[in-house]
Amino acid sequence: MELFLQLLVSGLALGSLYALLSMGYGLIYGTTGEFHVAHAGIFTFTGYFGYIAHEKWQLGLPASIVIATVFAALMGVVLQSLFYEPMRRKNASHLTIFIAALGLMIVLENVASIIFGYAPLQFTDNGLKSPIRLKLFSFTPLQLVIVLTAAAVTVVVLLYLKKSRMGKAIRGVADSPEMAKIIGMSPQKVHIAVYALGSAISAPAAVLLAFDSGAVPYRGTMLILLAAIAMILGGIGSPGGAALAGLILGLSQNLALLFVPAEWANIFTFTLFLIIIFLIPTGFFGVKMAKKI
Amino acid sequence: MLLRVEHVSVRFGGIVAVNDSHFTVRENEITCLIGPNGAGKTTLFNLITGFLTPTSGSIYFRDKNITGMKPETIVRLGIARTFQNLRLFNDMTVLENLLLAVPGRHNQSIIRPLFLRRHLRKAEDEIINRAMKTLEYVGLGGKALEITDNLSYAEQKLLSIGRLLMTEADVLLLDEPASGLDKNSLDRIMPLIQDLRRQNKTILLIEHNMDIVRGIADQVVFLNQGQVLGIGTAEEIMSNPALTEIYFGGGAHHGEGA
Amino acid sequence: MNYLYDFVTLLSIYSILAIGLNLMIGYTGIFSMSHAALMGVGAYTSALLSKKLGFPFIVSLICAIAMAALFSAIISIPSLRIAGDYFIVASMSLQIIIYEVFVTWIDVTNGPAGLAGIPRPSFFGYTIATPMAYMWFSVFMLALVVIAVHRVIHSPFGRVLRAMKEDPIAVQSLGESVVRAKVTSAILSSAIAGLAGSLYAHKVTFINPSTFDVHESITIAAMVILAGAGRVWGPIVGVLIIMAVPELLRFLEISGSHIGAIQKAIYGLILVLLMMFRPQGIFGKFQDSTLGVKKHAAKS
Repeated sequence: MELFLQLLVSGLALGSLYALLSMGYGLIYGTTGEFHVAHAGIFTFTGYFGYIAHEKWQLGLPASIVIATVFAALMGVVLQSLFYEPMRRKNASHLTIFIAALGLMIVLENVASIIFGYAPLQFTDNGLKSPIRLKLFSFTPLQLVIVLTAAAVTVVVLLYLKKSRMGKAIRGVADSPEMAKIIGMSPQKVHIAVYALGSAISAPAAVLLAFDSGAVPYRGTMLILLAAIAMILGGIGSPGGAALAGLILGLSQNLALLFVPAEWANIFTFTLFLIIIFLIPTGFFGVKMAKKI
Repeated sequence: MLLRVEHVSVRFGGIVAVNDSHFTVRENEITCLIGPNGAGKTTLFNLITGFLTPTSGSIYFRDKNITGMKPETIVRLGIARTFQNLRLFNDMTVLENLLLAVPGRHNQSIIRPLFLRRHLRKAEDEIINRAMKTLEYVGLGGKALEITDNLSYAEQKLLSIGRLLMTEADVLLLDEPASGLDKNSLDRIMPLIQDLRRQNKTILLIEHNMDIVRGIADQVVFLNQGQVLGIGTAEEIMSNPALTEIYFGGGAHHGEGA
Repeated sequence: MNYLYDFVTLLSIYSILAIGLNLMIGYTGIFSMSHAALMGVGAYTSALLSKKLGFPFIVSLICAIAMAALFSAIISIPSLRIAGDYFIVASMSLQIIIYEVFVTWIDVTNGPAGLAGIPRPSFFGYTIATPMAYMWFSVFMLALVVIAVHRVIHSPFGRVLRAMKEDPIAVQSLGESVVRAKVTSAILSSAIAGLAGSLYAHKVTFINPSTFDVHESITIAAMVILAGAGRVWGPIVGVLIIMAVPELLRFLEISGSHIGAIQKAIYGLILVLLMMFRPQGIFGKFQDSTLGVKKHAAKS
């Protein structure tokens, strides 16, 4: 029982991180149709931004997260404006943009490795990682921060998408690309907004993850795959769904340890999710995919 | 009663594109589907040919329920269609367009090109023969190796019908075959369509030009806002004041867009 | 001299791999991230059957091909039915699953320590042992693969692939299943990867999981994309160029602990630059490449 609760707690924390990661990624994909795997590269760098803010500039954790989020948003905008926008103007197919994104992700990860090195850069832990022991399980303040931050960001973003003008424009464009012109907003503006927002959403998770286990250069591939799976499970076009699916993903990765030895946990969870995606391609909350035409 | 469309509806979100449509297409006849722009005619084509699945209702072909089947299966069963914007393979030759339409497993086989090449070559030769004959029939003899993009619009329309013939489907759905054609071109296409009936084909076509409809239709189905408002001969439909009101009040009678 | 033989051998093996992947990416427009893993399936299958069960090389080779094809079918058939990027996600998942199995299933694969003592191929008593012999063997297999893929491309099936790139809906409207063609392409492509894996394993006689990880999958994809789909043998040039990068770095005396990262960053850069300025690669388009222009954004 204790093990179950403990895994539940760590699963919640991990799931919260995944939730933010997949929500940001899913927002971009759902709106633009672009499989922007370079999101993982931005995620990686955001962890390092957080590290610099926290360790070199001695800002507290909240301020570091804020600064890193701003950098992430900027990075997202710069990347899409420098690389994707020219390709869009040449009428490039989505496959082309995906491969460019893949190339960008590889460049970003390896550049990070060259600049910051292989080894994880650890944040100074001001007691946030000291476990608080309760009767049945223990948790760390960091885990609490993670869950609360993720919840807060999710709520804010969902509200923004629902109520604000740009938010509605984003949802409209997700339904049909011509929508942007109809509303009177240029597609370029929507793209910039979506990439800024998407990168920003995942940023707190990047910093917190780096705080937890150190900033590393090569986590990207695994993470973006998890985000993609969560996005599909939650339903493409539903940022809330992506967030929820990310949470479930994190929970199941941990709870899998109840059934499977640790080395097999990844294999188990990925296989399970592959099976689920095949059985329910639209995901749990997905819009029915336009079938044939 | 070759093709039965029974109480078929389809909705997208809140929009009902086709509403309880019900009609039959009889064997060896030419049925014209008419109605103002946006009436749902092409949507009905998509439903019959499997590109869309109805949200309610069924479609029967030769008493077999084909509702929800995949497009490629329905073609193999014997119903084929053209598109308003033709969808020819413009970068390929006229001949290749025809060859792609031939039913049979050879188009998906990799065993044959790898190990049974002589057999494949013989089969291809037979198909090419048939394609050349079809080209002659539609009046494009001699254009076999022409790149499709270089053909005139009328020739492309003839090719799209030729492609359809290669599928050996018995029921041909033609989406506005006459649109955008001048009188000379019409004089090439319309007799061809009528000859198809003589060749034991069954034809369902979408058409805006009432003169043409009067000339060839055995049956007319009037569609408006997704609903079948009338079925009958061309005279019966055109002498119905309510229908002519909708038709001439609402849409153009030459041109694109259904 | 041996160095040259080994280089040509490796070039041939990776060319086989790339030509197979080109069938998927270049000719069918499906992007796969699992090709290195499938090569690994071929390698481990062949290695284990030969070494632990003493199967003759031919049998191991055929089983390697079959296993790779099987694993590919497991994800291709369900995921290609669904439009969009499902296949990419499914293939990424397959890559990670297979790689982790190589690492974790120590009883069978010996894990990260790798599998050594893989026997050389032998036919009717003759063993291919010397580097030169293996080179000729690999070049021969490469020629076979080129001929095979050439035949497939210039067949009715190849015609369907070309048509699919222009307009898959029109293809369906003529009675051909687009999904089936994609699956066929994926399975054939993976079978070729299994072949390459087996050749590789019996050449180097020692394999470990790192040769078949996701970075390798990306590198192979880079080789294919660099070459483009215009020529069946085009990927050989792509392989050559990509294999030249580490040599070039060595020549320019760039070294140090970051050499691996620099190399990979260069591959990534190549992909980005290609997509921005010449998405059809060196040899250009098969028909109109799905890599390149969105042809039918305006149509219907």
